[in-house]
Formats: sequence, C-alpha cells, structure tokens
Amino acid sequence: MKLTAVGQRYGRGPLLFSNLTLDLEPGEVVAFSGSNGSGKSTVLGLLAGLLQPSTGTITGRPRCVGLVPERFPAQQRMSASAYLTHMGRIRGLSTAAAQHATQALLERFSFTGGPRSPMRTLSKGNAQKVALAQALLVPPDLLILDEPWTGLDEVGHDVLSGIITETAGRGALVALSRHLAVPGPVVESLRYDLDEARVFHPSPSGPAADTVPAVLIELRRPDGAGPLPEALARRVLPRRPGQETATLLVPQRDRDRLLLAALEAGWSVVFVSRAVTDSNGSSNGGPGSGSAGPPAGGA
Amino acid sequence: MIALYRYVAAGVLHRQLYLPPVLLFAVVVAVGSRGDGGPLLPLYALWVGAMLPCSVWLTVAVLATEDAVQERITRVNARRMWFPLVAGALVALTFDVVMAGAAVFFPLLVGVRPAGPADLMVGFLAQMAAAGTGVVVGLFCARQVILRPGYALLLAAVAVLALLLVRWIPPVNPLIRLLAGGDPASAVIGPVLLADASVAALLIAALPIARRLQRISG
Repeated sequence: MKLTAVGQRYGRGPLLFSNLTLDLEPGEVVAFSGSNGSGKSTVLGLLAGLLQPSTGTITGRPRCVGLVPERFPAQQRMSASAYLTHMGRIRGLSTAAAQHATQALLERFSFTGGPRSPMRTLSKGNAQKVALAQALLVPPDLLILDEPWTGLDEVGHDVLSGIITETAGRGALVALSRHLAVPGPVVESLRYDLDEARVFHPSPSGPAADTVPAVLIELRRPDGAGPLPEALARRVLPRRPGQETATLLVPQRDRDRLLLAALEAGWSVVFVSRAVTDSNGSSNGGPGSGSAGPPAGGA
Repeated sequence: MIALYRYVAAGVLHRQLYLPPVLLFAVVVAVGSRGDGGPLLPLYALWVGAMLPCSVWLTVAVLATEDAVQERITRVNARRMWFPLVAGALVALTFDVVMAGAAVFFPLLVGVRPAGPADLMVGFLAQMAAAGTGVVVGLFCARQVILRPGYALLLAAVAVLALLLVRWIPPVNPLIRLLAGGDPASAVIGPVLLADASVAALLIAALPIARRLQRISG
C-alpha cells in the first residue's frame, strides 16, 4: 500500500498534514503517533478509504479491511452477538459461520458483558472488545486500530498484542495510532510521528536493527521478592493506571537469560508473548521507507 | 446487500425511530378517511401529499439509526462504501410500501366507496412516486450528507414545501392535482406510471451523488 504526497484538510481549513509519503509492506505494523489533533485518526480514515485525501494519492489498498475505532459507542439495543453475526454476514460469512466466529472471538477476548445483553448496557471495555471482534470476523488484509489500547483490560491487552502479531505474521498490514503518553505494548515495526512529520526507526544503529525480534514479558512481584535486576528494570514499559504487574520488552535472544534472572530474583512470570518487532520509541533514526514535509499547520 | 438490508432493518426496528413519521401518516389517513362514500382518487391525493414529508422523515430516521462511528465500521465491512446508503434507501422504501398499501385499503374499511382495482393501483403507485421523491430528498438531508441537523431540517422543509406547492415542480404537485381532478383511474394511470418511472430514475441517479457528498463530508 502506497501513500504518495498525501495531505488532508477539513473544509476550507489549513492542511492537517501534508506531503505524507509512505510505502507500507504486507506484514508490517505501522504506528502513527502525535499530539491531539495531529491527524492520527484522519490518516487511519484515509487508509480505510473512508476519506478521500485532499492532496496526493493512496494506492494498493487491500480489499478486506478491518477497522477498530478508538471509541465504540454501542448505543444499540441489539445484542453483541446479534451485531457481530450481522457484521459477519455483511462480510460474506454464512449465518452459522458468523455465529461460530463471534463465539470464538468473544471467548478469546474474555468478553464478560453477556453476549445477548443489549450493547448499550456494555461497559467501555466490553464494547471495545466487540469493536475488535467485528474487525476480525474475517481475517483482514489491512487491520486498522485507532488507539487500540484504550479501554481494554489486561487480558484484552495481551490478546490484542497477540492478534496484531498474528495478523502481521500472516502477511497482513497493521496500521494503528497511539499516544506515546498512553502506555501499551510496543508492537509496531515502523512509527510515523505526525508532529515531526518523519519516520522513526527502532534503533539508531541502522536498518538491521529495525527488525530485532523481541518478546513481551509480564512479571508479578510476590511478597518478599527483591527488586528487579538492572538488566530487567531498564526494560520495564510504562505502567497502566492500576497495573500491578510489570511489562518488559526484551530482545528475543536475551529472553531466557532475563527470565532466569527474574525468577532468581523471586519474581513470578505471568505472560510471555511470541516474538514481535522491537521498535521502542526511545530511539530513532532518519527518514527511511517514508518521508514527509512539515505539516502546513492546524495541528 | 441482503445482509446489509437485514442489519439496517433490524437496527431501525430496535431503535424505533420510524415510529413518528409512520404515526403521522397513520393519523392523516385515519382522519382523512371519512365515511362519506365519495370517490377514492381525491382521497388518495391527500395521501400522496402526506406521504412526501413522512417519507423524507423516515429516510432521515433510517439513515440516522447508526452512530457515526458504527456507520464507518459498517461502510468498511460492506467493502463498497455506498452500499449502506442503498440499504438505508431500500429499508425506507419498504416502510413506504407498507404504509402506501395500508393507506390504499383503509378508506374501504371505514366506509363503502365505489372502487375498482384500477383505483387501488393508481392510489398505490401515486403514493410510491411521492415516497420515492421523499427518499431522494431524505438522502440529501441525512446526517451523512449534511452534518448540522438545523440545516438538514431547513433544507428538508424547503424541499417538501416546494414539491407540494409549486405547480411546475414534478412529480408530487402535478400528481395531487391529477388525482383531485375527478378523472377516472383509467385516465390517470398513464401519467402516474410515468411519474413512478421518473422517480425510480431520479433515485438511481441520486444515490451516487449522495454517496459522493457523503465522501466529501467524511
């Protein structure tokens, strides 16, 4: 999928961003970051085909797109299972296949809202799980997630990380937006910052480091356990409010050694993910597979 | 498209936004169906006049069933961005068919009137011409095209009044005058069929235009 000199404005206002050029490959996980109003959701709308770019072109959009909004309003009296069955049928599944996929996804997300309860009675987290499920009823070739970590519980975070990894692993393109201030697992292989209008790479050490395989490890500190060894402590990701466990992103090659160090320090392992690509935003490089001019204003 | 139609229809039935325009039309039909035994076609002229604003309202209500965010999801899942708009128009037309069908027979239930199949056919087809016109107006007044409800209401009111009152704007005003003119059904069936064909063509032309405007408004 290719974005060439894409710019977007609303009405007669200034360009929200301009000259956005990106060449996105299948299997890539790309994140769009930036401050409020920088155009993250707008870029995702352009990728989904919901908006026509004011300038530039977008080509090579996959046919099967899954869209997960930042906020799923769920005002309907329709139940979650009925809604998902309808969405499955709209995507071309038979009723039985749609119901089967619905049940499997709701179970995978540990959906607790009652599949037959009206959607308007769902909590924010459960409504967000319905939003995620509808995008995955048919495995999408382009999965678009608008600030996906918002509102999900711990299980949802873990499952979502796994889904993003799986989706990219089978050759689909995953595009997501994220606030760098909002904690969440780092799953992207490429990050485009709309404020700075440039592509960030995970490591200053060059392109080879862009694809260093990494795993997410979640650790719990039992009573009496000592502090984490320094090698682990510096890899702890920012915690979500109320999170009692520590999530770490570690290179896959160091996984066993660091897990052993954590266990020896008395910590308990809660979760270890499959390999993802380490693109921690703490490091960056120059423009690589994409580039853009400075925003023309309006952010 | 069938799956999308079923989803939109289910959403409309759940949210019951169809009730106000359907009830308004039912009240007009109930009040207008006096048991005076008079001819049917002038009565059907009143139904045609009532059908237009009710169809506009119904179309706008059907297209407002989904939240804007959910609607974007549906558009992406449908893969063709204009399918939800078509499904909404078809659901609105389905309600119109039921309303027009009930309104054709209701006068016969409350009083004995001289009526033949041609009268009933003309009454139904004339209402459907007004209904189709209402769907076209509703498409352009829907939230998907005009984001501000105040502007949408103003445009809908102006369009409905113009279509009802301005003699040279087809098809509703000419149809009302035709049915109220006292001619037999056999004499008016031709123009009524022509009006239906014109409205069908107008509706088919309006859908991509409304879709284009929807795309611009996001």
